[in-house]
Amino acid sequence: MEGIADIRDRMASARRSFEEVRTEMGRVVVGHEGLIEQVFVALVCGGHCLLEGVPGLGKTLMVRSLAAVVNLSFSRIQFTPDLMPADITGTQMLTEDPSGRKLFDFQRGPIFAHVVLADEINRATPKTQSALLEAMQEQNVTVAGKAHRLESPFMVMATQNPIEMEGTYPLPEAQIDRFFFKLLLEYPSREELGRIADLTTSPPPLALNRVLDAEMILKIRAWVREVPIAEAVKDYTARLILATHPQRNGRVPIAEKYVLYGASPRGLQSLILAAKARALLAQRPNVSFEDIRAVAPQSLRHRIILNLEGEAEGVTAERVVAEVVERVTEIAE
Amino acid sequence: MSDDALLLQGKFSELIRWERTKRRETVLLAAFCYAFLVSLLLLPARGLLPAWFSPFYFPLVSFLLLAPACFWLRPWGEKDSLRALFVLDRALRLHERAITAAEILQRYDPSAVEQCVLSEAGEKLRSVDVKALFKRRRSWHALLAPPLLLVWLGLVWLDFRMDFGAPAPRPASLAQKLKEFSQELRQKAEAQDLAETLNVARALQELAEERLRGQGNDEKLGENLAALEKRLEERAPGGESDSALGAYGREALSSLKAELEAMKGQLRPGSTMKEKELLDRLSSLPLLSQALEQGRSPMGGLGGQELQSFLDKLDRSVAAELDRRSLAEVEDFLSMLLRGRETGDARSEATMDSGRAGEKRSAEKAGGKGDLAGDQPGTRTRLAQSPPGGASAATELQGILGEGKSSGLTWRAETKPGESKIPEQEVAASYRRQLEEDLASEKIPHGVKETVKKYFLSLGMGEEKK
Repeated sequence: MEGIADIRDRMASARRSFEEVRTEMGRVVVGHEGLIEQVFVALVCGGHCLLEGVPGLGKTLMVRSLAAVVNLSFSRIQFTPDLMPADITGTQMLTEDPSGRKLFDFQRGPIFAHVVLADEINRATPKTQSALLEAMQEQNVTVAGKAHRLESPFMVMATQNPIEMEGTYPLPEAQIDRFFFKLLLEYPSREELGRIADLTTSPPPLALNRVLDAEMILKIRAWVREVPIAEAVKDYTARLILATHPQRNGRVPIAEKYVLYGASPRGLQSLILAAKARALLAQRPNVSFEDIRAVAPQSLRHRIILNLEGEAEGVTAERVVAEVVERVTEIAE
Repeated sequence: MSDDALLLQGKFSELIRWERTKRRETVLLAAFCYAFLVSLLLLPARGLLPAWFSPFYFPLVSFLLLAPACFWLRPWGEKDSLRALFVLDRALRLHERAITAAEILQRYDPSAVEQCVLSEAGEKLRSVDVKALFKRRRSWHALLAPPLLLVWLGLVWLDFRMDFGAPAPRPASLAQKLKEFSQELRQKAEAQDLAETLNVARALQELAEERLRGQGNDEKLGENLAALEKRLEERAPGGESDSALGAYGREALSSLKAELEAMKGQLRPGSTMKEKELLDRLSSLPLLSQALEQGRSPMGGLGGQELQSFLDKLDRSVAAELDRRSLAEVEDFLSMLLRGRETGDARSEATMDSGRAGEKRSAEKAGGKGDLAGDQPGTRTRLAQSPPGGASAATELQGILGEGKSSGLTWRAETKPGESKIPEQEVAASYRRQLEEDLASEKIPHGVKETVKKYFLSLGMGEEKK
């Protein structure tokens, strides 16, 4: 039976793990401290991330660095229009056993890794994109009627370029909803650019240390789910989700005007789980309203679908989320 | 249950109790403010409310009605308790440890993580004094209440001042009334040579002036007047009315006295008037002629000396009768004055039983309450004096002296002799006495006193002339 001291130890341990990952990733990833934390949160929550940013901001570098520091298997899939689902999941290959009998043997695709980088995911056809659906949601791959379990921890990190839309296939809503977070990479500042220049034009740094293993990640995942959340905080989260819906009670004006569909229940799960992880990393045994507010943008921005008027007027999902967070009161009136 | 859990339970209970107390105070204060606002709005409409419903009751009644309504509109609920905990979290930066701990406390068997929450919340709240942390805040009700109270009190004061503060005609003091009466009495006594009345008038004037100079007090003056009244009462049985002169009214007696004076002047020793002239002169004095006839002294059968002695005797009788009547009037006046003093000036003026007959005589009056004619002069009874509707507030009627528009109907009809047993002269005399008392008591406005006096004095004159 665990005591209070054990709980405090586990919180300290989780925090320490995060600090180590951040420090190690920070050696090669310049800036993006917030993003590193969010990626780590997604990892310990068992979620997948969609990273969006213009080319050259370090999306791929970040994913590769994460895989490097957490001692997990990593695979990268470069999504192209001719990429087929079997190229991701794997396929049945006709092989010969030592006795000369011909057999169909399942050759695992790149999806069979702990961390999968789906680079430029929007360049593949929807058919190929949907090959990720089962893997992301159920951590299974079904090929030729046979289900293959993916190892835990499993995390898909997809990237997409928001400006080069020609020859791309925007992700369907069902696909997008399966991403725990949508993270936006900002352009680096002047100082950060200087550091990037130093890092990339001087002798390469030493290889990153592996500071976290799968076992620890799975432990932290379990701890995250144990963090208690008060009914009032839960109710606040639910009201935040409902406020994004244009037809629901408690909606905010901007949602009523510019939103076509509000956040799904997966948004609620994402908010609460991410808030729990955030509380744990802050060595706090319970979730606060502030935790919910802090993770709301990355949890909800890709789950809000704007209507034509909203898109025409340049309203962004971030603005909708910000207004929802601002207007919804912590305690219901 | 752990120590932390017990501590938290106590702290949370204390916090919620304190917040509930503050809520109650706020609600009561709000009801107080609203009550005064309603009272201010009702103040102009107080005329529509019953007279007994004093403006001082407005806030009380409004408050009694509004307070339950305010409590009903703002009941304390679960959300308020939750809000109190939320405010506690905010104030101490507990990151919702208090809210979470309050929920965990309701569970039977908290997990290790939940116990950790209780422990951390307990550590933070151990030394917290919720009453000091969440002091009473001054709401707008608290700021508004004192000015509202002052405004309301001010308006009510002004309202009362307008109603009751206006200078009401002060009833004349006892000494003042007495002085006025004694002066009039003295003038009358001197004019008609009424010795005893003159003495009484002097005595009364002396008492009044003593009191007006500030000597003694109303009590003592009352005692002196009571003693004087008693003396007059004791003297009354001895002073029997001359049966022949009893039928004369006061005016008639005065006229008779004047005729006697005139006749006595004609009969002075040095007078050269002949008997025929004397008879002619006598015939021009109707009242004296009538008295001579009643005294069975035909003028023709009287010599100068006899006539002189008869006139002297008649003169003494008339003077005595006038004196007796004046003293009776004084006695009635004193009785009325003392009775009015006992019941209070304001009431006495309204309920004054004027008229010579007084209460004793009123009681003797048979069938006095009916419509049938009595055998005594009528008096104003208390019932008749009461204003219709039983209003208790002082009433002030203001009029303008002088000519104005008037309209009216005049009915002319044949008069019929009434069945009253009271001589008309006595009724007129009774009215005049009542007039004198009313004039003395300042019931009649100063400006119209003379007019009213003339009117009442003119009553019965025609009859007497006949």
